[in-house]
Amino acid sequence: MKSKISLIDISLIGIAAALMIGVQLSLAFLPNIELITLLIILFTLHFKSRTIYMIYVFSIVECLIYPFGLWCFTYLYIWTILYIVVWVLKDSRSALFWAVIGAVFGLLYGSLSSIPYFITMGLAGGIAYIVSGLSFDLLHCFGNFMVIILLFKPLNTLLGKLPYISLESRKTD
Amino acid sequence: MSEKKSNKKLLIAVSILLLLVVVAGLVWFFTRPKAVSGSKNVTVILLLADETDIVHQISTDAEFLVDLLSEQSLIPDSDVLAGFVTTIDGITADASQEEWWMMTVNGEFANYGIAELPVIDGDSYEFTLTVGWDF
Repeated sequence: MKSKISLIDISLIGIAAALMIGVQLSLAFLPNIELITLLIILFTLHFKSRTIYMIYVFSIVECLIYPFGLWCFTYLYIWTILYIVVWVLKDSRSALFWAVIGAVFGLLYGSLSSIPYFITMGLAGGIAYIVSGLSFDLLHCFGNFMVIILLFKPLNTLLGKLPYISLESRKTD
Repeated sequence: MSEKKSNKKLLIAVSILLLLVVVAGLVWFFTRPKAVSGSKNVTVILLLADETDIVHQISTDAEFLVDLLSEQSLIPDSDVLAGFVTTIDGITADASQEEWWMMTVNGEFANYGIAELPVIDGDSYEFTLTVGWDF
């Protein structure tokens, strides 16, 4: 069956997830400046459905590294939402377009991650969670826009040159 | 994808972004914690794992807690930048031992981090060295 995961896929998923964890940890000291949004956009455009596995390996390892909390439940769906959005809009290769999508995602990150707080703390608690995090969301929005506008084009070109991607293209042509 | 369709998508995305930024900016502006200017007398208390307390009575003009902690050299520059306390008064929470600083204001959990928490005259800011992620 074509959907079978090959050894190359497993290696790729491991390397990509390790890359995501590495860049997340190295930028953890900067509040809401991250490369994960950019990487998920790029991985979805290039590695397609394998990105889902990358996202969940990354999320599970993050939950093991950091103190367990409600944010772990957030990680179970929030990056998948980004994956779905990118999948729907996958025809575009414009850095500006993806920078805008990343900025919107950054701005909505607090609202999207508030779902477990609405469940555990009620309506008032959920709204308070969103409002108290708005300054971080605005910073996240700006950070995502800048990171993607600067890095999307070179990384997109680089990923396009990977031998693995070329092999995949030949297989599907 | 045709250029016309691509431009339309970009225009829609930019419009959504601008609308969201304006709405979020307005909500933030009208709900943000307001700084209080002028001199204030506050207390910073460290509650350590062995149940000893370190109490600092401070007179300050600092408007936000991060400024107060920074001007008193209670936290390192890296924590000022991160807006998150890992070391205070030279005592570092050892993450490998699952230690962290729990912050409360007048005994209540704070709704904001140190960067956004206004310093208010008479307030007490407690940092409790807490052990265990399952708190």
